[in-house]
Amino acid sequence: MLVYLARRLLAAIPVLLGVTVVVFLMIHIMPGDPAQMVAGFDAPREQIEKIRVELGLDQPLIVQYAKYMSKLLKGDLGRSLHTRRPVIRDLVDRFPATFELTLVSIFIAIVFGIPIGVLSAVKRYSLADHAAMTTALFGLSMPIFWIGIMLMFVFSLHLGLLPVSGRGGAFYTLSGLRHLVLPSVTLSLAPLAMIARLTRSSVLEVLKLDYVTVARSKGLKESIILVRHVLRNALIPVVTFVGLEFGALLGGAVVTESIFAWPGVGRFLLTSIEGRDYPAIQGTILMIAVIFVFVNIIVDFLYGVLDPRIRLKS
Amino acid sequence: MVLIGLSLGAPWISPHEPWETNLDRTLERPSSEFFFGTDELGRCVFSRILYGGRLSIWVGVVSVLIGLLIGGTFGVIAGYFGGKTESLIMRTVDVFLAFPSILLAIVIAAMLGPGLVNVILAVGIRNIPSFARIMYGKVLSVKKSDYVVAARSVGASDFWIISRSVLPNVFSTLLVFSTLQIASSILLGGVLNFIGLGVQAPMAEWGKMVSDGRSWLATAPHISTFPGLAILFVAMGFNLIGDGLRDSLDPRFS
Repeated sequence: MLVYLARRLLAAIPVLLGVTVVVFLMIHIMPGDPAQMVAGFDAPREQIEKIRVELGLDQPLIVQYAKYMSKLLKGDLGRSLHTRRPVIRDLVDRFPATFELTLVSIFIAIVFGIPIGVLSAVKRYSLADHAAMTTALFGLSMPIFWIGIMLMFVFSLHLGLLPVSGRGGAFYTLSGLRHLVLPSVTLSLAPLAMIARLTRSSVLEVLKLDYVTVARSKGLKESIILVRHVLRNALIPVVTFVGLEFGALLGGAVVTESIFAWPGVGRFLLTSIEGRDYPAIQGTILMIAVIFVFVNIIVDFLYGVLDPRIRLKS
Repeated sequence: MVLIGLSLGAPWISPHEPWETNLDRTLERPSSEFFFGTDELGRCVFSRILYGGRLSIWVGVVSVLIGLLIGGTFGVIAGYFGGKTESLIMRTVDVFLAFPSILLAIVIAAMLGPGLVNVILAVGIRNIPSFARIMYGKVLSVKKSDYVVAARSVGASDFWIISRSVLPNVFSTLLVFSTLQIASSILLGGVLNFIGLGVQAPMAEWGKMVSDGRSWLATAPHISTFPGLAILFVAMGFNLIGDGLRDSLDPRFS
């Protein structure tokens, strides 16, 4: 098994390298002259040139890339043009907020999504099933920003039940929780819908299989069959999905954070883009992509663990 | 269900409203003679939704076409010819897929600058790796099938084999996937515009309209509500079509 993991990690390296290349190239494909951006638009020519040399922008691309990679490996992501602090610090500061939001959202999506999916599968074609799946379809098709604004409108502005924006402290405080509710619910809706649908179809698939009939004929209670045999196998694709969805969640967090003024990495990215803060943009994208790649590896690995067939094949 | 999808997905076919979007007459006033009310500049929200519909749906369709044609071709090439080409193409695809969808689109849109065309390009580029992957997988499985082997043994040219045997079988998967991708592309286009990376004022686009309406949320919520609902229903329409197609085309469906 360790071999499997090692192999996956090795395969990830070229991907990670590719990621750094893409991120690096980003800055140079952008319209506008980076040196000018840094110096300011009305800066005199000599100053722009000076900054250009300072930032090493006059060197051939390969050299620049090499410099970039060497800094990267030392953990230096550059300095934010905006906050003037090392990008790493900015990211590390904001990471917990995003992490909290993402985690809570996934949690909600799983806790509600799986049971709904299972129930729908068990009561196939019933009213509950149709209702649940239709609602799921709604959830999938909903623009995140819209539902976020709508929820904000209903619960904060209209009913005044929950705070409008911002983060109120750690999640275990009352204030923290109150601030968490709207953003995390908003973020969780799409994954919830997908998880419900996926669980449903997966459970349906498993229910058809032979060993379920065997278990039934053994006289086991339906509920035990469900939990012990069916769920364990049906949940495999769901687990994979959750891992993959994580990336989409990070993306969705960008939007949610900006709506609710949640002080996380996503919002940082957006403000950096608006402010043309290249180092910050690069650093953030890089971090998110790297996290995503690692999550994928972990999910792949878990998949191999949970489903012996995959493990043995490779 | 598919019918519902079709009718919901076509509100844009009826732009019978004249070009009322420049009516600086009245300011924010909820539904009366204006079906959806007016926005902060007195424009009729309903008309803007209709016009915006053309844009949003256009974004969805064209970006999927981009993904389909470019990504699909790469995927087919990679799957069919194998070897070094395959590794090269699929590795590149992997790199791009290492970025979460939304992020990739945001980055590309930021790079390209504002404007509708760039939004289409950004979402299109996001679609390319997805289509490449799907086509690759499908081609791989079809490659092993009997008709391809038979054609090969007869000595048919590659092009012939691809167009005659591979493509028709891939078609159904492609159709389903494309429809669903249109839905997500429309949503993505909406997000990009919402953030401000796309269409500029005074053009009407659903995502942008939702964003514009944010300032008036407390007093005039209808400005944001309706465009969002429009996105919801159109996306849902395409999702329904895609689902319906998938269910009917799936041979396993008992």
